[in-house]
Amino acid sequence: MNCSQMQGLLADYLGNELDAERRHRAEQHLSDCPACREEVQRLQGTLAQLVRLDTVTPAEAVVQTSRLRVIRVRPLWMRLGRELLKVAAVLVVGITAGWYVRAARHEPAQPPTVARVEPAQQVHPGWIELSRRTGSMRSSFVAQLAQFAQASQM
Amino acid sequence: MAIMAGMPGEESLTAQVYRWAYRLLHNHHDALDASQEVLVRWIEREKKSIESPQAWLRRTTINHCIDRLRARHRPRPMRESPAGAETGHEAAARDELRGRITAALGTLTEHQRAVLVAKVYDHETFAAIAAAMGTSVSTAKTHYLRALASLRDRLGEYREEVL
Repeated sequence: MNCSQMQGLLADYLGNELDAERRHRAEQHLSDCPACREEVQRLQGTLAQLVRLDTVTPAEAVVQTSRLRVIRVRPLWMRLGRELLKVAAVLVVGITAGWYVRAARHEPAQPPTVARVEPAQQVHPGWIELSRRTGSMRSSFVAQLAQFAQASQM
Repeated sequence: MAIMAGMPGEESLTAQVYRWAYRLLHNHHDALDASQEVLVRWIEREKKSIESPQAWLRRTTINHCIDRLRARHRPRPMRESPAGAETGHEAAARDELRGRITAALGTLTEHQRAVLVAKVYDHETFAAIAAAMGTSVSTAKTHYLRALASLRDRLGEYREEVL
């Protein structure tokens, strides 16, 4: 094995991922090559520092997370339920209002109530003057007066 | 698997998520925020599709922390000391070295830090790390070696007498 091949195995060697055969070959090269041996030793020293001086111990993690409270969230359908109810209410109101509007448009129109105006009966001018003065122009009253007048003349 | 903090038998997993987050973020509040976010995602997640809860949690924690580190735009020197610092002369030296390691880790890129932390503390394989980060195995190995080289230059010689 040469230095270039050793560099290619360096990560696996330091990470303990070499199989027995390749690890043996790597260690043979390291025993024969001072430059590679020195480099590996320095990197292994750095690794040892990292391992021994973990920046957070399990005990510290327990202390820190003892105050951590994870609130269980409601399922998505429950969180959307309120919004869905709002939408449903708007739809119901809208549909109901639209139904009423549509129903009102199709309702046949009633002819306006207009007072029936009967042709004026022939009456004595005096009776017409009397009714005018009294303010009563009801057609039935005028008709009755006309009949009475005719009956009187007979 | 319930993850809520404070429940018997479940603090270890919550603490694990926090440790993963803190090793990457090196900030107590950021690590707690990240842990909360990851655990909420876990609770909302459909569990049937997850083969390994621990692997899923670690992958989610790594990716979430990488996103947070990117949001910082650049690695910043980390000076925060973890809780429960030891006392005494040797302990003070250990804390000093730990502080130097913390600061040195803060100079790494988010990917270098994620690979190194997963490899050194979680003993993950390069294949698992690459899968978790969505990158190739060779790229993960490159991040690993560059991270180690950077720390080696910053930390200097291995001080065995201190450890």
